[in-house]
Formats: sequence, C-alpha cells, structure tokens
Amino acid sequence: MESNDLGDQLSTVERAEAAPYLDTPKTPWWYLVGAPVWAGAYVANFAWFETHQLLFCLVTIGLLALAGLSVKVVGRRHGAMPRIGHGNPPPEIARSYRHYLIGLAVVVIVAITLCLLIPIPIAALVTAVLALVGILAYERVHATAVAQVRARLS
Amino acid sequence: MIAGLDPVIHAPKRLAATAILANAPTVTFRFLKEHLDLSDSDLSKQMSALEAAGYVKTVKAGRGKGATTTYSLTKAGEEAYRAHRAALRAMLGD
Repeated sequence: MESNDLGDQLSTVERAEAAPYLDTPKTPWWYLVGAPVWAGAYVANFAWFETHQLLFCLVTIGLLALAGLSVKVVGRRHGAMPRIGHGNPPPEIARSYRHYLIGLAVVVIVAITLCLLIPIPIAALVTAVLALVGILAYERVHATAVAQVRARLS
Repeated sequence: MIAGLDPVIHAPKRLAATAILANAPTVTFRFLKEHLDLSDSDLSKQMSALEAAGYVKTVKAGRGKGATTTYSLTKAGEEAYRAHRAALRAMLGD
C-alpha cells in the first residue's frame, strides 16, 4: 500500500475523530441561565443540611437528576455527544476541557469556602455569578479551540 | 492487507464511521449521514458490514417520523479500531 493511501487514511481518522467535538449545536440559552441557577441552588440547599436533612437529601437528588436529564437532552440534540476522558479529542479541545475542569474546581473550592465564612444565601448568589462567569469564559475558550482545529484540519 | 490493518475498518467510509463512534458513546444515524455525506442506503450498508463483523451495536427507538437509530462501538470494535489506528500511525512513523 502506498504511503499516500495511508496518509489519506490517517487524515480521514483525524477529521472523523474530531467531528463529535466540532460539530456541536449552539449552547442552548436555557443552559446559560439554568447552570448558574443550578449551582446557586446546590449551594443554597446546604442551608438545610443541619436542620432538614431529609429535605436536603431530596433536593440534592432532584438537582443531580436535573443535571443528568439536561446532559441527556443535550446529548440527544447533538447526535454524537463526545466521549469525555475516553476518546481522542484534538489537542486544542483537550486543552479547553482542562480549562473547564480547572474552572470547575475553582468554583467548587470558592463555594465551599464561602459556605464556611458567610451566610449561605449570599454564598449561593456568589456561586451562581461565578458559575455564569466561568461558563461564559469557557464558551469563549472552547470556540477558539474549535476554530483552531477547523483551521488545522481544513 | 498489511498486518495490523483491519480489512473491515480499512474501507474509508467505514473507517470514518468507526473513528466517529470511537469518540462518542452513541452516535445517531443522522449525525453519521450528515458528517460522512452518504445516502441513507449507503450508510445503512456500511453500518451493516460493521455490525456483521461484531464491531457495532445498533439500537432502534420509536416509530415513524420520530424514530431514531443509534450506533455504538462494541468492545471488539473498539479494540479493532485502536489496533488499526496504531498500525496506521506506526506505518507512517507518526
């Protein structure tokens, strides 16, 4: 087999592997609103941690179920939800995922710290704002990464 | 066929379909059709070949207009794809 054929095969692989990461639908408006509200609600729920434990557990389960449902809805719209941590994302996309995880860790650490230092309703509000800022920043980073991959593979 | 290259996956359309499937837990018929730019019948034929080799699992849900067909790689499909990909890279010294 000619190395040209093999080269074609490898570029077919590269383009196809990138498809689930690049051909993604626009982020729905409800995610931009819902995700920060969800994060704030998750923190606010801790107000019941000591006084209403059953309610705390039910709300936690409800919030996690809601998160799972939204991932499922987005996955259905997408048609090929990327396999995070398992596939071969283009390096630019992998970098944007790392930024997302770092941002998520920062929000979680800040939220925990705030819960210990200030009243929980205020901590919830700050967490929601932080989550919104983080999501908007990630959207920009990810869009740049997608553009870089498209340019490289074109 | 060169050692390490899988004859089922080697065909360009099936290679591209397998590469997409290796990067998403499930992929819809529509996504594959749009991305690979194939007709319904051609895509069905390619996916049937992958399914016959035991590389792909097909799930059909619903009826009529809302019906969806989704595909996922089986363990054997994942292993075959990984080996094929590694062989390609090794041959090109990548």
